[in-house]
Amino acid sequence: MSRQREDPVFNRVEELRLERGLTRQQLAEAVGVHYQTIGYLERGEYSPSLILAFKIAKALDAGIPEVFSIKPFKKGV
Amino acid sequence: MAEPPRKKIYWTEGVTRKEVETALSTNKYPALYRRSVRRALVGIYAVLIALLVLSYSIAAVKLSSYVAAISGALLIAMYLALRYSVRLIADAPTELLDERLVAIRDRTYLIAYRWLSLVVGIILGFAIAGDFSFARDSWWPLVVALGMLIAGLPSMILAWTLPSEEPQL
Repeated sequence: MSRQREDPVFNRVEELRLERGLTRQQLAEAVGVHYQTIGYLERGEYSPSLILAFKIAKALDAGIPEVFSIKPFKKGV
Repeated sequence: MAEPPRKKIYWTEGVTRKEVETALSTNKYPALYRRSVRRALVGIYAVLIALLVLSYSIAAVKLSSYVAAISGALLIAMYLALRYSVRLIADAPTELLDERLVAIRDRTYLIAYRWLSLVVGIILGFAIAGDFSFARDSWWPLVVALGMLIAGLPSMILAWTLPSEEPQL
C-alpha cells in the first residue's frame, strides 16, 4: 500500500482545524472517520480519497486547494 | 429511495454493530492499544497454539488432555483480548469502518492469506512425510489449533503491525 509513499499529498488539516477550534474527534465525527485517521492525515501518513478530501474541506469551511496540495504549502499561506 | 435497514448482527463476520462501534470509540484500557502490549498478546497467542499442538505429542493421555484443555481455554481468552486490542478491525464489516481502516483490514487479510498458505504447506508436508494419522483418538487439539490460527491470524498480524495509538486530542 504505497500510494502515499509514491504520491505524497500535503495538507493543512491540522492548521485549519486548530484555527476553527475543532478537536480531532469533532472533525472525525463531522466527516465520518475514526479520530486516529485524522491524526494520520495530519501527519501526512495517509492520503485521503477524493470524497474524504471534499468532506474535510467542507467541514473546515475551505476549498480543496486550501487544504490539500501535491506540493508543500508555503509557511504562513 | 428508502435507506436499507441497518444490520444489528453481522453473522459471517461474527460481530454486532454495537460491539464494533464500541470497540472503535472506547478509551477504556488504553494500555491494550500500545504496540508492546499488542505484540505481547500475539506472542502469548502463538505460544498457546504451539502448546495445543504439542499436547498432541504427549504420550500420557491424562497429561495431554490437561495441557490441551488449559491451553485451549486460555487461547479463547487471548483470542478475545487480541481482537479487542485491534478494535475488532480485522472482523468488522466495511460499512462500519472508515476508508483507512478498510485499507488496513484488506491489506492484513492479504498478508494473513500468505502466512496461512505457508502454515498449511508445512502441515501438509509433515502429514505426508510423517506418521500423522487421524486414527489416533486425540487429534482434536490439532484441529482446534488450526482453527484458532485461522480465526486469529488477521488480528495477530494487525496487532503486530499497528503502531501504538496516540491519545485522543
